[in-house]
Amino acid sequence: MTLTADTEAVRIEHLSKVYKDFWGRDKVRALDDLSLTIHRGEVFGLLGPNGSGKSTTIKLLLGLIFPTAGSASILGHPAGSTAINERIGFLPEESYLYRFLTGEETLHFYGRLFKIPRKELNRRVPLLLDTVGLNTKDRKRKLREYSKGMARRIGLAQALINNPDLILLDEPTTGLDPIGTREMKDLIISLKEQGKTVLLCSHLLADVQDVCERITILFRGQMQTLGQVRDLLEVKDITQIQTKGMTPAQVEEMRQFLSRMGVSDTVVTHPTTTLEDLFMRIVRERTVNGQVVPVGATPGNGHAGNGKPGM
Amino acid sequence: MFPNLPQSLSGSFSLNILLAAPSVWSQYAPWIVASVLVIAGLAAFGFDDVLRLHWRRIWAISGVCVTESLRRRVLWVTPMAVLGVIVISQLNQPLDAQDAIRQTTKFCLFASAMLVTITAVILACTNLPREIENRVIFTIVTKPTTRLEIVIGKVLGFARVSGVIILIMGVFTLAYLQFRTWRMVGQLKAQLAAEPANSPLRPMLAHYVNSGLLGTRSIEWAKDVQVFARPPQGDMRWMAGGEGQYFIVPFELTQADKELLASATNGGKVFVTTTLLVEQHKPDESEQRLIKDMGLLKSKTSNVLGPAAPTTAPAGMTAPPPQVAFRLLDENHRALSGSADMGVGQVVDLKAPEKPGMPFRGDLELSPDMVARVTGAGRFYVQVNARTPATLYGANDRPVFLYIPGAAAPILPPADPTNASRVALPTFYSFPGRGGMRLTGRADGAGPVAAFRFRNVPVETGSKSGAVALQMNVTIDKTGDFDASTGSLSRASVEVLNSATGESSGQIEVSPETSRVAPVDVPAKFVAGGNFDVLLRGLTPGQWLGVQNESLSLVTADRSFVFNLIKSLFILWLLSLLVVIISVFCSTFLSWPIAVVLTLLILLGHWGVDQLGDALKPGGGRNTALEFQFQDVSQTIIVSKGVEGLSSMLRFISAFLPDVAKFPVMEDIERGVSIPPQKVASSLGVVLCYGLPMLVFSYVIFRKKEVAP
Ligand SMILES: Nc1ncnc2c1ncn2[C@@H]1O[C@H](COP(=O)(O)OP(=O)(O)OP(=O)(O)O)[C@@H](O)[C@H]1O
Ligand SMILES: [Mg+2]
Repeated sequence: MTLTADTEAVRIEHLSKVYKDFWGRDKVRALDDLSLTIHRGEVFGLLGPNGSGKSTTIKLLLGLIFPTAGSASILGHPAGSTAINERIGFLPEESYLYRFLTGEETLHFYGRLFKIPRKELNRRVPLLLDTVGLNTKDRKRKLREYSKGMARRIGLAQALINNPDLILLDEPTTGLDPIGTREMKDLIISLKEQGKTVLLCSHLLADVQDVCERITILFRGQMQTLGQVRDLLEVKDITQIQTKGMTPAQVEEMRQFLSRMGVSDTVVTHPTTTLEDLFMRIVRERTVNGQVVPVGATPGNGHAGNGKPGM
Repeated sequence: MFPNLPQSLSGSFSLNILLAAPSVWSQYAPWIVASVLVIAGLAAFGFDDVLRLHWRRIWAISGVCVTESLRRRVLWVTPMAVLGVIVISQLNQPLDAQDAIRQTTKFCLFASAMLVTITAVILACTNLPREIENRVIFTIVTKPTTRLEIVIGKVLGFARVSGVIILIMGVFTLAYLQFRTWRMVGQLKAQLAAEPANSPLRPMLAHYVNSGLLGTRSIEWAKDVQVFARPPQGDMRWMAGGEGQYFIVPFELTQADKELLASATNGGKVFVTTTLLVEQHKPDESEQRLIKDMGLLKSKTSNVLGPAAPTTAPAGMTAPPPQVAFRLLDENHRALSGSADMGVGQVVDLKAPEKPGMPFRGDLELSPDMVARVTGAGRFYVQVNARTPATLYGANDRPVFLYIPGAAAPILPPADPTNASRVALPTFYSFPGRGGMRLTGRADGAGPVAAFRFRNVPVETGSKSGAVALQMNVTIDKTGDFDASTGSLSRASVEVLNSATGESSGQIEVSPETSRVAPVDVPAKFVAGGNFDVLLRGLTPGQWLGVQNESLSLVTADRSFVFNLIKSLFILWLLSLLVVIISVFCSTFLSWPIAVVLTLLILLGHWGVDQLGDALKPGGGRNTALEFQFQDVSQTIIVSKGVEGLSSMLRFISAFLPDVAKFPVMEDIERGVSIPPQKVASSLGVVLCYGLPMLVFSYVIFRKKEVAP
């Protein structure tokens, strides 16, 4: 399948990142030769255990850090170019905001960085605060008084202040209560319905499974798998027949029919394979000698993918 | 503008070429270098970021800095400073009302300067590193803000904070000074009313009551000051013996002169000759004592002693025969004759003339060694000291020459730089005391005079009172002869001579106090045209006045104190702007504690090297090495070379550092002098010349920086 630039939101080509120490020696290979493309209008999930390079990928895309090798482009512009930031929204893994500003002031400040006129800001800010569910009293409080979930919500509002076309969410649901998590998922789906592209980083698999169309799983900086959530989760040797309103007699008849056809181990329940299984399988497969290897990339010069235990 | 650059760099040969270039270049070099750096820095990443600059983003970023400072209660430092100023100015023991106000002004400005610099350094140095550390920067740089806007926004933000602090301190300063002035003028009024009508304190009290204590003036200083025995008449100028008076004549040997001297040493002789009119009088009591102390009583059986001098020679003790002492000085006014000189010079008797009324003559024969030194120096000075007490020495326009018997003409000083048709005139001095050249007092007003030369002074005509004010500021030292019973007040007089009209104001009496400004009102016509001389005489016997160029000034205009305070605070704000820029620059690549240290080093480096002063002058290495008293010559050379290299490196580096002395926040306003616009301009120049390139460097570094910690 060939893609034109118009349909690509993000294109990552052979992207690698090696963190260096003070003396310029290689310390950690956080990302290793990652190539992938995210289409416009899709919700893409970036999965991986702690320290697998998810946040590193996002930082590279945003120009917060510079790649050791490879390149990336966002909405047709090279990653890190200031101009394209007009159309990007970014929610970092924690709410990195000015703690001495109030919620409202925070949004006004970020709005002014987008040169949004004051009038428009006065209209947009309350709407956004409603969207992320911050009540009127909390809006006037300083961020240092916010609970983690509240900070997360204002962080999300900040990411949406410019009505972005591409939204990068780094673990958006951490710190949110179940209702908040639900709302977050709904929001992501509604963003998708508005035609926006969402890149979602998470290790909360249930969240990803609910909202993402395509995912990739990173492990030690390397891409392990990429594809449609549906395809990836399909269990090839199990056929699932779903019907509505079968009576137990009909079920029994069906079972007999199947055994006559020589099919064994017939289970009439819902298949339990989940994203979680897949995730666990991949992580286990890469673990050397069945030993549990500490998460994160390997220290030293060896790259993170070789599974050597940390020194 | 680093006007310090040319002098400081003159030692480094690599830049000599640069300095040899036309003066236009050396004058504008800092500007050119700064612009080149700015353009190169901005061009390093293409001009996209420059084109994207938008004031709204910059203002928003600076606004957050301001909000942060305010919400972190940074402004709480101002009440602390205010409290400190009030306490210190109450504890301070001023000399009088005017002094109290000036001291208070100084405390206020000093406190403001300290406060604003320290706050600026700490805020600006810690801000960027902290935002990177707590990753707030993530949400800033992922917005459409360029790093250039961030750097400018931060600088602007802290400049705004400094501005607020300065504003608060300024308002406090003004209010506090107004309050103190109001109270003190009240006290002065009461004192004036109580003072007897003939009290010598009345004019000064009246002056303060009328013009207030917060006056600010534009001041013009004298071009130079010389000390004579009596007011000069044309080119005829006098010095008094026994009072440490002397004159100095410059010499500049041409090639022909040098050849003449060289031929003369082959068997011939070379003299330094002076011709002087001599007047002697009966020594008074103190002169008699001096004559005894100098051992001049024993009549010298000198063969050069001619007939009695044409004087009012009294019966009893007479003035000893007239003598002068010669010294030969190099370009830097250090003795050419080396350590043998001891500062007193070589004493020479003056030969009386054949006919009375003609000049006396003194000849000093130069040794061949001395002739060689003089020839080697090329430029040198001859100092002639008036030695004999109770004697006046009169010099015309060419009182000293090099006399070579047999030569066609004597060697004369070079042409006067201001008037090529005659030779350079001698300059008259007296030995320095605590506060400048000593001026002995004499009750009859016929003692020595200090002549202050004012030229092309912009005098504002049409002042309401028809008078202009001179300000006198001298030190007063008492000699052993001082008779304390005559009262505590010193007396002096001032006489103004208008060069254009030749009119004299006559002697106007003043009662100066040591190191204090005494105002003297003079009718405006005597200074009209701006070219005039002021003669200052001490009238209290047994006292010395210490005079220097700054001892006498003319108030050319009265200015508003508020405006002066605003200028001073603006200079302070410029200083804080520079501080902020340097801090932000350092914080783009250093952790904040190191950034603070580096900022202080950059700020104070130039000043520090200036303070080391002589220790870093060329030749300092040799002195250091000699102090070690090495046995081995090679060790001495190594140490000397090392120290020399180190000090020239320090001087070189410091030449590129900003000079905080270029930010004169206090010196003028404290003395009640209107800050000249040039000083404001030169502060602005330093900020632009250093600040802009540094701002751009900050951007370049920050642009290349990964902001993830
Ligand atoms: N500034 C840094 N310097 C050195 N190593 C770093 C730096 N930032 C990240 N790393 C390393 O790079 C690897 C990938 O980190 P990254 O933050 O991308 O992980 P992640 O997938 O986001 O993990 P998590 O799920 O815990 O957020 C880790 O091993 C981490 O230690
Ligand atoms: Mg992460």
